[in-house]
Amino acid sequence: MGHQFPPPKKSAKAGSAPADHGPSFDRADLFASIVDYTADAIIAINEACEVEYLNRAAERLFGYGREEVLGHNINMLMSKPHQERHDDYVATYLRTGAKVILDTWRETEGRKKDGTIFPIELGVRECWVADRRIFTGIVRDLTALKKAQEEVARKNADIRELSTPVINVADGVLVLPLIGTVDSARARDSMEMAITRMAQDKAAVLIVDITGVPAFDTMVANHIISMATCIRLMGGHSILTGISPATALTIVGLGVDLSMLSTRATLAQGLELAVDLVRNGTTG
Amino acid sequence: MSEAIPVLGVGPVLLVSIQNELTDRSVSSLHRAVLERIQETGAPALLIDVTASEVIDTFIGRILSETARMAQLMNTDVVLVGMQPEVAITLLEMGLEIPNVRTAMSLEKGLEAVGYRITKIDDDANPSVADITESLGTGVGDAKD
Repeated sequence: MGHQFPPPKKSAKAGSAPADHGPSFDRADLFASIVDYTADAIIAINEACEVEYLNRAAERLFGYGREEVLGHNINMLMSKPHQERHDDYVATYLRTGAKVILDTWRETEGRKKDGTIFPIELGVRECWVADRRIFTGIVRDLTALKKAQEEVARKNADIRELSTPVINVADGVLVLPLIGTVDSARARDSMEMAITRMAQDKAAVLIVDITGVPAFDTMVANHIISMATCIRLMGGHSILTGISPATALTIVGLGVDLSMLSTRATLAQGLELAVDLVRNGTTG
Repeated sequence: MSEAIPVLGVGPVLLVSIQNELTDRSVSSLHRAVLERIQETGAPALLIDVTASEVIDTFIGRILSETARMAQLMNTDVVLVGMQPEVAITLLEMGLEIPNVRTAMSLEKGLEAVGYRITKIDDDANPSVADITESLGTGVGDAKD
């Protein structure tokens, strides 16, 4: 990664100059260089919140040149609520000694020169240099991470949607095929999606097919009963299909009362009933 | 402030439409208004239309359920019409499942459920008026089988 950094230049400011790379550099020069060229952005401020130092990564991250920031209030790099309050944060700390952000890592926002607000992770420490109190902040850009997290969330939502399709199979008839293991979140999603679709499509009948559910348990049963109750309140009708002998045994064994919905052994039979209900207008 | 909920007569059928912003007072007068109209008219059926309700709280839910039960005691068929999915979910979560009242998705279906159907009158007679005629023999009754 080193090749990405500009070659070392002699700083205009004496004292904070990076190493000369001459044969006789001392340890202070070494540390100054290390900090200056560190990949994470580092910014140091004094008690008056004026920027005393920022390294090259910080310049690059915020888009400012060093001279535009040095001596200015650090709040120029902050987003709205903190921008006005930061002076008070520091004043409160100096008065009470109560650490809020010091010695922790926290997620907040930074503000680039072009006004872009972007997510950062910020760690602030306190140190003393020749009797002067200095606060140093390490700033990590979280833009890429946040984007990746959003992407994952969106993918998960897609997967959830794909895993609970609601299909319009006939005029006024929707089918919700449940396949695979149904956990609580999926059951709730599918229920909400199914009844929303029923209202949208003005469908009168929903067939819930559980042929593909390997383990029918009380949780699944309760969700189906809730869904059927909602559909009944809305004036629709629900049919449960795909009941295998094993499932029938389980239902009776668990003492689940499914009397509020019609049940059929196969989806085909359920469909027949559904079409019948729609045609004869007896839903209700 | 009188904002009683109107009880309309659609042919022999009574229709109460619950609008969104109801005060508790106008809702509590619902019982009496409906029951008195049933007594006056001997209406065979009552449709409670909640299509326009986006929010139904426990109080309104309970009043609706009670009104329906009282009307049933007076031998009037009650159908709850047009409940929105969000409302259904809320009622379910509150445990207000209104179990003994029939439901329908639309006003039209509600009328059918109590045995009436909207048909257009012959163009010659009166082109603009729709009529309610009793439809006999259409599968009236609960869809449960």
